Amino acid sequence: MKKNKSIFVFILVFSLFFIYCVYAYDLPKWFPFNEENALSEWQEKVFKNRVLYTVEPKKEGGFLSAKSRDACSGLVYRIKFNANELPLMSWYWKVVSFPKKKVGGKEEGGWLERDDYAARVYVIFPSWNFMNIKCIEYIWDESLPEGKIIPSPYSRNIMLIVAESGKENLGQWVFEKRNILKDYQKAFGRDRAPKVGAIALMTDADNTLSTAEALYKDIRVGYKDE
Amino acid sequence: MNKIKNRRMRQFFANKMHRQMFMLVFLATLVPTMITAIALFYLMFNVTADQLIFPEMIATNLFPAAQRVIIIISIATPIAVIFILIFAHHVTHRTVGPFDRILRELDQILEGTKQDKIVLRSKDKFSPLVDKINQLVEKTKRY
Repeated sequence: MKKNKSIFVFILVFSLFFIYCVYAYDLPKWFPFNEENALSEWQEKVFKNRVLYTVEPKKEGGFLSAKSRDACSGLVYRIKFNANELPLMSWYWKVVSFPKKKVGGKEEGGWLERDDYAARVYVIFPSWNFMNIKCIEYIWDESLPEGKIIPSPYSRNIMLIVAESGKENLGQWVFEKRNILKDYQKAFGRDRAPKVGAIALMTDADNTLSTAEALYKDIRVGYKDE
Repeated sequence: MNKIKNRRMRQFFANKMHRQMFMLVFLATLVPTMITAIALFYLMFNVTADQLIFPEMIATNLFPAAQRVIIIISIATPIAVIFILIFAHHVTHRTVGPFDRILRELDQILEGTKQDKIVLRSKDKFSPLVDKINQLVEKTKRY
């Protein structure tokens, strides 16, 4: 009887350790895009047409190129970490061309019709309730002022933060370092952020029926300043 | 048999046992149905949301579907509850009614005011039991 008990405890402890190992990540996670198969762990999700995502491992230390022609698809990397303890995220991005924000010849479109950005970096906070999945999107927009926080036209659970603005740095690598916790607090007015469940990248031009191109490299997530 | 004091309740239930059995059947049908429906709703939509992962995708594809399902559920649930209420009342009435009658008629036999057999309606439960009781009564009369 005692032997059975100890076997049961061993199996339980081993299972818990196994589950921990499966969900434990090496943090901070670094995505240098310097290998051909750098996208093997990323999943592509297609909204409308496919954006051409390619890794250029040899050029400029390696980067991810995204070219959208009337297309909207994103790359997702599932990673779990506590943004309250490891709040920092950084990356380099370069916009080659912005989507043209006009619809059917009109310069002004509806909010939804203008929801195209040359470069977006997502931080997704899953929830047990699918109606409560929250998300921060760091965007590079040519017209919105830097630091502006606006809700997405799709849902108020999606907050867009203008991390880079204007065309001054067009064609140049720009470094971004964000504190996810502080941005979450500003965007949603909560003290603590839920656990991060995924990060994602997107370059889209489907709503404006135009083209956009951006490059991403050297993404780091889940760390804090020493 | 414990009688119900509340006049409104007495319209629906023959006695306390009827009410208790009704509640048992009603809850035993309703609670697992509701739990399963809620679990399926969340499982279905949460699994899909987890697959879609992009909140925009979830908002454009899943929210309208979920809203439609919620509308259907909110219309179907009261209808289902009414059906379950009717079903539970019918089933328990068919069980408790004859039971009550058997007790009443047995009392009459014991008091000597009733001489003939206990007769149940053809669809009523407890027919085999009543047959045995009638046989027993007959047998005791002979001695």
